[in-house]
Amino acid sequence: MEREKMIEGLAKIVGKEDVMTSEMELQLYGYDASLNRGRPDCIVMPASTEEVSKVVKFARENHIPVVARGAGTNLSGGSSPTEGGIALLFTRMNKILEIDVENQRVVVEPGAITLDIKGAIGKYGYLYHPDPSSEKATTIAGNLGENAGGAHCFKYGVTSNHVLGAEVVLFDGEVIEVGGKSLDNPGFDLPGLMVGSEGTLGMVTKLTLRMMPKTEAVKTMLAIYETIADGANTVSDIVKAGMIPTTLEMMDNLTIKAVEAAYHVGFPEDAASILLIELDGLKDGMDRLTDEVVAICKKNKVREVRVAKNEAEREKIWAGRKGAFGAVGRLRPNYLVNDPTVPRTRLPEALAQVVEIGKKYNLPIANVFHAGDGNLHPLILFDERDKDELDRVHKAAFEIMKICADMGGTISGEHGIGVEKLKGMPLIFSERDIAAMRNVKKAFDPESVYNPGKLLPAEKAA
Amino acid sequence: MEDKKLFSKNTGENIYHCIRCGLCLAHCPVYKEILLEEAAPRGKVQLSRCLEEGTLELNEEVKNAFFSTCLLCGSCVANCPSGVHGDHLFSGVRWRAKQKYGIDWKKKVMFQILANKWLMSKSAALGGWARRNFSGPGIEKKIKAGALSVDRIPPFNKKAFAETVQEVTAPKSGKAKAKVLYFHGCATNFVFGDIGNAVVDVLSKMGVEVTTPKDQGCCGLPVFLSGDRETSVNIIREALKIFARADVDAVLVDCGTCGAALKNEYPHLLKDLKELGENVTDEEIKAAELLSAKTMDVTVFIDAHKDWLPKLGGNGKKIKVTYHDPCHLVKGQKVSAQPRNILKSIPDVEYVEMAAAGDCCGGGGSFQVEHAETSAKITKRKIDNAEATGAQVVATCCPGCNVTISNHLDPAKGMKTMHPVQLLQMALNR
Amino acid sequence: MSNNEKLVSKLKEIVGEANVIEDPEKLKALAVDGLIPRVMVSPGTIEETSKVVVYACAEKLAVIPMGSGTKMTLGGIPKKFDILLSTKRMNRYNDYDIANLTVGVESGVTLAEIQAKLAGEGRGYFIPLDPQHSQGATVGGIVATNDSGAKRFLYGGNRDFILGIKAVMPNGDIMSVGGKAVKNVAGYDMTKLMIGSMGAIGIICEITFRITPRPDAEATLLFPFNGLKEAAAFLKKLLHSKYYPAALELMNATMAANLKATSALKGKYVAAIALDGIEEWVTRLKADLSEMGRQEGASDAILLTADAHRDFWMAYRDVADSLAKTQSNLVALKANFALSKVTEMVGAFEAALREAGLNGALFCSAGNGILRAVFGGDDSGAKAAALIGKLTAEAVKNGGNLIVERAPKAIKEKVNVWGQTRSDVVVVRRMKEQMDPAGILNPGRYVGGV
Repeated sequence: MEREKMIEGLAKIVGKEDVMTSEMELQLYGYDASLNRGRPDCIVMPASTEEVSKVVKFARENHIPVVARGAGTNLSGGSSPTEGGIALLFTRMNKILEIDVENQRVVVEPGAITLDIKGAIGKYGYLYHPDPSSEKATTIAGNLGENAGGAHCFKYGVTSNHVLGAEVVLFDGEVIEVGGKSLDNPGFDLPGLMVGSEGTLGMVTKLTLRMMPKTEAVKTMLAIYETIADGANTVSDIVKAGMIPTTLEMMDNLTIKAVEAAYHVGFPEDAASILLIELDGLKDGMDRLTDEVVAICKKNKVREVRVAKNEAEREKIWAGRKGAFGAVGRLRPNYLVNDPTVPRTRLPEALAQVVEIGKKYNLPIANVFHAGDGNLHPLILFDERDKDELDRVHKAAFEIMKICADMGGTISGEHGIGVEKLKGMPLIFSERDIAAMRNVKKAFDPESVYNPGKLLPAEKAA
Repeated sequence: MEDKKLFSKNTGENIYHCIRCGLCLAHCPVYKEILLEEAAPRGKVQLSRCLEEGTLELNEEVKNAFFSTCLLCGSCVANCPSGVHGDHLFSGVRWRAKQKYGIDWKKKVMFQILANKWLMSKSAALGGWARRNFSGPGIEKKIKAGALSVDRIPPFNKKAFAETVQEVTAPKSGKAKAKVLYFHGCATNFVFGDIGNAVVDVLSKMGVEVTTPKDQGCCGLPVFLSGDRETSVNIIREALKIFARADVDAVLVDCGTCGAALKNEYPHLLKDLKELGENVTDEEIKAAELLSAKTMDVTVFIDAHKDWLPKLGGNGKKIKVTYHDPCHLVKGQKVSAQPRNILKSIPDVEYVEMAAAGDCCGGGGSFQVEHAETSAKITKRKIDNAEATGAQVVATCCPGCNVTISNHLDPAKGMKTMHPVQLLQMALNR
Repeated sequence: MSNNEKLVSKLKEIVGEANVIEDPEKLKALAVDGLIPRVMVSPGTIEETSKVVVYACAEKLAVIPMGSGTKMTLGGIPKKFDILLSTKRMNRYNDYDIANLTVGVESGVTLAEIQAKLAGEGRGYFIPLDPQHSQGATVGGIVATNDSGAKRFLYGGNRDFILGIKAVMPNGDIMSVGGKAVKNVAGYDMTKLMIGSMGAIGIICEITFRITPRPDAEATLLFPFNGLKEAAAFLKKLLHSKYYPAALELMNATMAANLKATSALKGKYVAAIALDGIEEWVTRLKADLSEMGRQEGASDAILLTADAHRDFWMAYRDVADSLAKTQSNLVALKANFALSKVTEMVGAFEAALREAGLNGALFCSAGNGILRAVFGGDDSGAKAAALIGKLTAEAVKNGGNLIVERAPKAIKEKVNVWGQTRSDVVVVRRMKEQMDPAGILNPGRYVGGV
């Protein structure tokens, strides 16, 4: 469609001020937090479900792709418009619509920031559990699109376990409701399909989230180790003992150094790894459980276990973990964060192989990982101005995906496939598996209006 | 001019450390209101990159993004996990924009005045005289300067502070425990004389010898941040001549912005300019580094030497006091505990922490005049938080924040703004 | 060769002669809503299942999968029925990894068998599922119908602890998604799509569960109440508290009368709270909750432990089965609703049943927002159908819906067994069209008539 006509048509729907087309804007909305870059044909800011529906209808009629965008903090390229089209910007549809304490649900607009939602319901004594490290900047619908995880998923699960319903605009502008405030609505688990669909099935214009009462007590501990294996073995032993901590997070020496340089939270820079453990529940027995955890750490040759004595100490420990990714930007200008998952007991093996891959491609790799879930985040450090290095980075990333897939794991635990991991899909899915997924796409979006080129590899020519 | 490099190598390197994580979006007060990528620090860093790499032209729209959607508060710098100095990049772009587009003539005049001490004192005297004689609540109530209500801007000092203070104020008693230079800045000089008096009074009661150089001028930051680096270099040279001295224990400031200028900006700017081929000498850079090392906020000095304070008295009537962290102090210089310590140590003060005390007040110097709508939204959040504490006094260490906050507080609540040193002075004089 | 002979012969070729039933008398007993299959086949592996489906797809033969057959009355009346496919011979454990807390098991294994096996491992483990038909139901059937029980409140439901599924798609393709990875966002969440899909878009052949360590301590507290409002208020208080019991159930007198542990209790309603956790938590919960219950108006707080506790919940789960032995025209309904509407739902259901002159067992999961009603319907089905319509409207009014889990054909014909149609039915229908264009799997039995 002719550019002028497109802009005119969209301006009629949302108003001229809410259609952005300058060169500056097109550059600004071409990137996200991944290494991918696209270029939209324009940016549109809808203010309501109705406007979203009209924009989508217009886009479909004129064969213009639609790429949803929140804060653009995803790590796999989900919101970079690699095939052009309309970048549909949801940051201003950000209201918290209803805090329904009685029903333990909170209904929000897609652009509401995850941490803001938590703050709002926190006032009533409730929690929304998923806590991706980007939570202070990310929009909730972005979390939905990627099925974001975070440090607390060992006990409480991921975004998909806490999104119970959504209002969705389909490819032809039709508005449907999937799920709702109640559980077990008849029909397919469409909320379950929407979560993690990376903007390829529908535009979410309302979300219904589960909120849960605060637990009575929480105990946060930092365990310091001379080897990564000791930390990983501690995790295995804690699980074997039948405990379900809310968190079991680890980071390696390279990461510790970067975090200290950035945040000065008191992590020891000569430790091989640190393990962050958190327990929650009633206060009865909490001390005994803590003692048991400390005993397990000691059994695994821990150097020191620090138990946070108050909220301030607890926050400091967490600040170090939450800022870990960005902090490694001090070591080298860029990083590529991988996101594979392996069965927990094979973590030490996977990490050892990651070290080998780093050596093979001559790239430093810092490691942060959700030790409880077996979800590792090897951060490959490099300088994108060095084209040769960038090439080695992509090769290393692919190999990391492969060794994890071979261990019975998966290529993405929480950041999504986007553009970046398309190559890895055949490592874990057969053509038949992908064919089934293509049917899902066709059921929702038969004309491929939404986020083309993402999540599913291109269909091979017959 | 256009074929000159956009950034020095050192500053330009920042661009490549931005991994676009987007965490800065959570800390930028302007992004919070506007919710567009150009208003985000990440967006401006990426635009800086486009400009540097030549994939984008510095046009009106880009220039406006850097001026109208950025307070240069430093919140992004303080919170960037990768340590990207967005502020250096953004002020660099402002400089190039100023070179291409010039500066608004009103601002040009203003900066020339700021840069010239004689002009400044004469203009202030004239302005104060004019306001006292020709203005009046009736007229002023109807005028707004951007987001500021003119009738609520504090009056000019009858006489400039520099004219009323002694050049050297001896310690109240005994030998001098320390010798300091007092950089009072424009605001204290022309508007907040009371703060200047309080600073000198408290320090001398602590046994400190205070030298207040008569011929000091503006720190230059307003000029520098608007992109007029040429004018600001002259201002800096003047300041270095007077204040870069190894023989004093400290150079004290009562304004967070002046502090950031002397402590952070002078060395960085001079180094940058030298690298870009401007006429800056190594000696000048050394002097700037010396001054930087000596500079500290007056609250930091007082807190570090609190045992020098005489006994603080009270009259038994508690007043609720809350504190607002000026951006240039808390983010630029990482000072947040010391002003609070001072307030908490005063017997008559009941200290109450406000929500988001470290969030920007939205003033941003001239920002609140030129970009009133955005500024007012940010200020409203600060006012709501301040008023929610029920405090009678909002203490802060920056005259800019002082003016902005006092301008927007609900008059019916009777709250006022003060510098912590003023409250300390009251306690010392009981 | 007649059509049937061709069919039978082909199937025998795939699964072996012993695993094909063609005896008409035997097949009559396997009818679904009165429709009798032409043949029953029991494949032993997913590959055999695939071959059967490939053939069925080519020949446009309707296939209905079955595990133990405990829930065959669920869903709409089949449009066509050619092959009954039993999953019972697919009963292997393909993954049994206690250290990693994963168990991958084929569909034909009963949940009871898996639980017994896991209970004996080390400190004891279990799959946190406690649905109906405690002894007979296969995991395949439970997952395909997304059945759940009381303890879902603490442990979550199928969608919260199933990590992967292998299924035979309607075109015979074997789809293998998920697996042992606890966190997995690669591709679409096909696992969640298959859970509860009622065989409409694929036959689940293998499921990987995340297992959980058995709690250190378990007990149950029973609270008889005379007033519905008081009972509901008590449960609401618990729901919003920091206590996190394992189950928050409410039953009416008819239900209570059917269970040994509650039949002697004096009260119109009984709240049953399950306690799971470490010793210290259970001890505290016992004390605090007993106190709370009494404060809220319970006439007593009865503690069940050990066998009494286990037997109670087993009977609770199986009440519909036990009632089916004595009640003719048994109707079992499952309504879902917004958590705060316990009083409204139970009250409305009671009133409607009373008005229809029917006595129904009502049991409600106040923690999950699910209410089940079991009663004997009338022979013609007209009364029951009218009642079901009314109850469905009530559930919708309270933020949910209602499905018919069990009913004679005469009643099913008169109602929408999947409740009120929702706006997302358009996607449900398109999904069926894409996945099963030939319409051979469970035709007509799912939502939207697909």
